[in-house]
Amino acid sequence: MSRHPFDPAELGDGDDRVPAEELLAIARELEDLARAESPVPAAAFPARVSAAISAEATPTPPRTFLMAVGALRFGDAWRALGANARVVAGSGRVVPVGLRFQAAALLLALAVITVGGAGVVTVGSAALVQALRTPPQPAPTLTIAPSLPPASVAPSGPTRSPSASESPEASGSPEPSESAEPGETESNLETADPQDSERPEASADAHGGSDGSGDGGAGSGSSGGSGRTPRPSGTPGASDDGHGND
Amino acid sequence: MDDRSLVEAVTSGDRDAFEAIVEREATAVFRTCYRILGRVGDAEDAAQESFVIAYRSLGTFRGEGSLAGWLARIATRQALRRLGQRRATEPLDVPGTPASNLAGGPDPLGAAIAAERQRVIRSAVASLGEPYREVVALRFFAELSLNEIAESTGRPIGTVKTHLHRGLARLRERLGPDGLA
Repeated sequence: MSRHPFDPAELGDGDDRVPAEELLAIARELEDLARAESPVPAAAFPARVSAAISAEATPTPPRTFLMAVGALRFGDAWRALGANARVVAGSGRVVPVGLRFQAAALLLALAVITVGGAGVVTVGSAALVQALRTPPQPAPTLTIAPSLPPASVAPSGPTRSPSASESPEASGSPEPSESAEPGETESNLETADPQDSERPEASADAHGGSDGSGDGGAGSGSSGGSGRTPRPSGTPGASDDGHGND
Repeated sequence: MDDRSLVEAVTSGDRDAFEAIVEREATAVFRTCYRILGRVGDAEDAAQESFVIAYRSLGTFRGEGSLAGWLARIATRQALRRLGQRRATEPLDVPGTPASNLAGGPDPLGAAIAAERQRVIRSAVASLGEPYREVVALRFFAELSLNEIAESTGRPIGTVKTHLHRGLARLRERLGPDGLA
C-alpha cells in the first residue's frame, strides 16, 4: 500500500543503543499509521486552493527574489537569483519578453550594487590602512603646537597689520590726483590745445611735480584753489579754470 | 508536462498551470497534513496554506528534485507548525477524528486503542527535534523515498539515513518498549 515500503537497509549509522529489530518495529508502526490514515480531500479542495491563489501576484523570479530578500530568507533569494539567470539565459520554454527584461534589469542592478559595494570597501580599507600608518607623525606635532603660539603670535601680529595698511596707501588714491593735477600743466597751457598735449604732459607732471602737487592738489582743492579742483573727466576744463584764476 | 515546464509556465503568469499542479498533488499534500494533524479540517487548512506558500515561492524551485517532494516538505513543515500551535484538546464529535471512528465499528475497544496509539505516535514524532522530525515525517507521513528526501532537503543521502536511524531510535525511546509513552 505504501509508495515506498520501508527497507531495513535504509537505516544508516546512528544510535546503536536501540536494537535494529526495535527500530524496524517502530518503522512498521509508522507505516501502519500512514496506511490507516489515507483520506482523500474534498472534491471542492482544488477550487478552494485556486480561490486562495487568485489573490496572489504572479510568482515571477524577480518578484520572488525581492520577496525573499525582504523576508531575509537569503537561501531562497539565492535560488531566485538562479531562476532569474535562467530566465535571462532563456533556457527551457519561451519566456515572455517583459519577464526577461525584468530579470535582466534585476541582475544588472545587483551587478552595479555589487561592484559599487566592492569599490567602497576597497577605498574604505585603503583609507583605513592609510590612517593606521600615519598616527605616529601627528602625535609629536600636536605636543609641540602649544609651545609655539605664544612666541610666534607676537611678531606675526604687527608685521601683518602694517602690510595690510600699506596696501591701501599704495593702491593709489594719490596717483589719480597726481595725474589730474592741473597746476603743473600751466606752462603747457600756453601752447594751446590741451586735448592733444593732455596725456603726455600729465604723465610728465606726474613725474616732475609729485612732491608738491600730490598734497597740494588735495589741499588746494579743499582750502582755497577752487579753480584747481582735480576732476579726471574734465581735465581740459580744469586747466581753463586755472587760466581764469591767473 | 514535466515539473520544470509546469513551474516555468506558472512563473510566466499561467495560473492554469498551477491548477494542474494542485489537481495532481492535492491528495498527497492533504494526506501528509492529515497524518500529522489527525483532523480533516486542520489538514485541509494546512494543505491549502502549503499550496499558497508553494505558489509564492515557486520561483525558488530549482528543479533538482521532484515537485512532489518539494511540496511534501512544505506541507510537512506547515502541518508540524500548526500541530505545535494547537491546544492540547481533542474534540469528540468532529468528523475525521479518531473518536468519531469509534462509533458503529465492529470493535469499539480495539478502535479506541488504535486511535490512542496513533495519537501517541503522532505526538512522539512531533516532539522530535530537527532534523530528525522532518526526516521521519517525510519518510513515513509523506511517503517519500530516501532519494526524494535527499533531493528535497539538499542533504547527502548518507546524512538522511543517519537522521532516519537516530530519529527512529529517539522515537522508540519516547514510546517505550510497550509502545505507549
